[in-house]
This record gives sequence, structure tokens and C-alpha cells, in this order.
Amino acid sequence: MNVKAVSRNVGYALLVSSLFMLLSVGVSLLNGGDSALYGLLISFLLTFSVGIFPFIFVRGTEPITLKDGYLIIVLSWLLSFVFGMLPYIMWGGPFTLANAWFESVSGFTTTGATVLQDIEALPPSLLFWRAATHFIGGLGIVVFMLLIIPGASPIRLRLTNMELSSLSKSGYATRSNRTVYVFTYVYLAICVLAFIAYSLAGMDSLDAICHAFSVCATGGFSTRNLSIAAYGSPLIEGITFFFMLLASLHFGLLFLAVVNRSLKPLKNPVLRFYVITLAVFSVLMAMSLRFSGQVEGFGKALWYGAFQTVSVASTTGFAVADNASWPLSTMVLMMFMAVMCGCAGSTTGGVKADRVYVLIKSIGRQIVKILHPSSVDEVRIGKRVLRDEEVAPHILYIALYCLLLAISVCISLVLGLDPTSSFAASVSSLGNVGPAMGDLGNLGNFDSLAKGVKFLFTMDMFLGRIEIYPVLAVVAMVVEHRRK
Amino acid sequence: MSLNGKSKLKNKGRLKMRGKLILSISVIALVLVLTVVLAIMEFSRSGIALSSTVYYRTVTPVIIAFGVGMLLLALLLFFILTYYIRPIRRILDALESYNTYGKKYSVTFEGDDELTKLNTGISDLAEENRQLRSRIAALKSKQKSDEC
Repeated sequence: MNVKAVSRNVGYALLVSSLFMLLSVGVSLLNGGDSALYGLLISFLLTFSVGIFPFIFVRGTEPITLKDGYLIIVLSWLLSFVFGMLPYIMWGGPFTLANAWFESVSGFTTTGATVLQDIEALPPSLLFWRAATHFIGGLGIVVFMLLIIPGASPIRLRLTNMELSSLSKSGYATRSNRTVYVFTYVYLAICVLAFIAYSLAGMDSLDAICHAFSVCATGGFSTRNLSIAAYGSPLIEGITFFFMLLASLHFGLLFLAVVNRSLKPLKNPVLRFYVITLAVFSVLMAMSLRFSGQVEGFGKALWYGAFQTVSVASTTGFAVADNASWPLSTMVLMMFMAVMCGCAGSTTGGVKADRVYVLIKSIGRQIVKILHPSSVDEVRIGKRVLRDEEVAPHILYIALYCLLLAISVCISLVLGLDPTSSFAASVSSLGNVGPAMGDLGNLGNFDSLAKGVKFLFTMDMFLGRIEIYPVLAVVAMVVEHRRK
Repeated sequence: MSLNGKSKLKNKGRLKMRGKLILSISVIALVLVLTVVLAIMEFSRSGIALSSTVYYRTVTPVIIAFGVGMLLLALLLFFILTYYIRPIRRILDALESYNTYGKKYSVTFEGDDELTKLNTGISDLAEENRQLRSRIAALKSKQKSDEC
């Protein structure tokens, strides 16, 4: 393991975080130096100094191996969590060590679950920092890092291939090195457009930028206790709905659609499957809400159902209504969406619609094989034929995901959480959705949970965010090293 | 190049190793001092309305800063070990092998500071010495054959 190269590249990640801390200091100064000013300034100083330190000694020419790459990814995220919680800890109030860790991890992994009972009590600069953690984590800390590393560097190519899953690069053709830019352009475009739309809809600048950060990263942190419902504006709700949906689609396909000025890339079979699933679930949710008497009028029920479906599927977690008292059927529907989530190549978490599509196709093929053993049938995505060795990793990932989910539910049960909350919160955390059910619902918070449970859910968030394998690779490396 | 220019170049090279050490120690010192100053500013900003929150916001950053300071110190020690101590030990080992067993001196490491220059210098000297020895040996054998 090349510790020098690892430390230098992890330093990049910390510099990105420190840059946003400095911006938060600017927000504080614009607000007359609010109560988080010195905490943010000190956090910036500490994060920047640790980030810049390796650059004094380590040259940029240090080579990295595959193992180093995995270590860089895992350490970049973990250290960002640790340094990201400094502004919270220094501000104090509801932020105990466990709460600050939870809020930081939830922010960077774009989960959007919170421990805060009164979000509006936070100073503006700290609200900005919360949203900024979404913005950094949405694109991926490592992708941010890759933007700084020179384009021709072999380190960059290797990390690009490791940070962005193979699924995210399927469906559109571009060079690996260019993928980073494509993702960044689309991400920034969504963010800027959302900011403009929110501003035009009447939000103040801070709220608009925080919600824009949150929606483009599909995070879910709001500046209001009642989330989007606090504005009581159908226009703002509509804007949020549109951008949540946009951010959950494949960025590469969106880029192609804009560049080619054609809707052809959006006729992708996975995209179609995802949108149809959203539509079906929205109608089912609406029916469930209407027939249970929770909402009056089918139009309103359909809007609530559609908003909640897109909010959960995109792993954003914004709310237009409190789902704590909604019937169990809606919760089951939401839990399914929380496992499936959005398309690969977007900022969403979960298993990804692409994998679910491959799974359904594989099951279909298996049934055909049972009925017609001598038939030759293949798994196809559009015109592309997937070989068995291409299908297997996706099925294996879903199996691994379910296994981790089961382990998380078991541990949270052992730690004293009730069965419903255990399941819902585990699904929500592993899928980076945010809200779960009941007290942990879209207008609730995770403050009441025991420290151990909070830590467990943050680990779920982390594993879900980086798609499990890099962490397992690092654990395997450590075990291998100890055996030697 | 003038003598002054040469010495300037030498000085520039000499600063590389010392400069890195001074810079890294300055970063650690600056972090600690600035944190304490900012914590005091936070404390004084509250005026006479002292509360547990004010004490918390004053003391916590200082504790965290010392923690980060320790981390930076550990990093500094690691880099000194990797970039300075380890190469020096390799040079010493190679020199010992050269002197005792007459093994070829071949130590290579990346860098552009004084240690690299020192290593290149020793390598040149060792090579020169080896060539000189072989020439002396050749002369001696020639002398012997002449005497015979």
C-alpha cells in the first residue's frame, strides 16, 4: 500500500470540504456573523490544514494500485464525515457527538435523515453547511476530487472507474475520463436551474440555494421543520417534484438528450421501466390514500401519492404531507420504492432501477427455460444482449444488498428498536432515502434513537452510498494484511 | 553562470528540505494558535452574558484543535520517517555493504532535495573509487607480470 499517494489523494477530498466550509463562513458574514461563524472558521482551518499537509511532502507522481484506489475512496468518505461534523460539534446545542456524526454522515451520503427537532433554530450558515454536505456527497467526494486531479493522470482514470459503477456508464457511449465531466455538467445544470426556479417561485436566496443543493443531490435536508410543505405553495412543490424526478434519471442520457436536442436517448428501456413503475406506484398510493379516507378528493390523493413516490424513489425524502398516519399499504409501496430507487448514473441510492430491470428480465428468462428447456433465450436491455457473466454481478449485488438489510434489521432489533421502525429505517438508511415510518417519517426525526442504532444506520448509509463493494474490499485487505 | 548565481541555486536547493520541515511545523503551530485566538474571540463576543453554551463553544474548538494537532504531528513524523530517515538508513546500509564486502553502491529514491543530491554524490564517489581500485589492481598485476 502506498500511504503517501493515499494521503495526498485523501487530502484533495478534505480540501473540497474545506472550500465549502469557507463558503459557509461567507454566508455567516453575510448574515452579520451568526452564532456558527467561529465554529465554521475553525473547522475550515482544521480541515484545510489536514488536507493540505500531505502536499508539502508527497509529489503528485506517486503511482496508485487498485487496492490504493479502494482505500482512497473509503478514507475520503470517512474523513469527510469526521471533518464534516466539526461545525456541528463546535456549535453545540442538539449536536452531541453521536448526533453530529449522524447529521454529517446523513448529509454527505445524501440520505437526508436528521436528528434535529427544530431545524429553523439553526443559524443560516449552519443550514448552508448542511445543504453543502449534500452537494458535495451528491456528486461523490471522489468525483469532486477527480475534477482537481489533472485529466491525463492514470490515477484519475483508475479512480473514475472505481467510483462510478459500471452501470452508471452503460446506456451511453463516452470515454471514461469524460464521464466525470458529463456527470458534473448535468449535476451543476440541475442545481443552477433548481436555484433559479426556486428563486422565481418566491423562496429567499438561502432557502433557494439550500433546496437546490438538496434536490440536485437527491438529499432531502430542508431549511424548514415542515420541509417543502412549510411553503404551502403548489408552484414550489411542482418545482421540487420536477427536479427530484430529473435528478433520479441517468445523467449521461440527460446529457445526450440535451446535446443532441433529441428525445431518443430518453427512450432507453430502463428509463421507461422506471417511469412506468413510478406512475403505477403513484396511482396505487393515491388509491390507498383515498380509500383509507386520509385525503379528500382523488386529485389531491394523486398529487400526494405521486410526490411521495418520486420523493422516495429519487431518495430525496422531501414532504408535502406528514406520512406518519398514512395506511400501512402506502408504507409497503414506499418501502419497495426505497429499495429500488432511481436509475444508475444518477445521484440516487438503493439497488437502482437498472438492476431490478435486469433481475426481472432474468427471472423471465428462467421461466421460459423451465417451460422450454431447449430454447435459447437471452437477457436483453434494448438492443444490447447481456451475457451471463454480465448479469451475475447485478443479481449478486441485489442478494448482497438484501443480506445487509437483513443484518441491519437484526442488529437494530437487538439494540431495542421496534420491528416496524427497524425494517423501515434500515431500508431507508441503506437506500439513502431519509424518512422511514411513524416517528421516523418524513416530518419526524431520528433523535430519539439510541447511540448504537444511530451508528448502525450511519454505516448503512455509508455502505449504500458507495455501493458496498469498496468497503468490503478494504475490509478484505485488512484481513489479508493481518493474516500475513 | 556567476558564482553568486551558483550559490543562489545551492541555497534554493538547501531550502527544499528545511523549507518543508519549517512549513509543516508552521502549519501545526498556526492551526493551534489561530484556534485558540478564534475561541477567545468567540468567548469575548458574548460579553458578560456567560452561559454554558459560551464555555462549550470556547473549550470544544481548543480540544478538537489539539486533537487535530496531534494528528498532524503524527503525519509529520510519518513523512520525516519516510522521506528522510528511511533514505538515510538505506544510504548507510549500502555504504556499509560497500566498505565491508565491496558490494556495488546502488541506492535509488525519488526526490529533488538535498538527500537525493547527497545520494548522487556518494554514488559518483563510490563509482570513482571502484574504478580507481580496479585500475590499481590492474597496474599491480601488470607490475607483477613485468617483474616475472
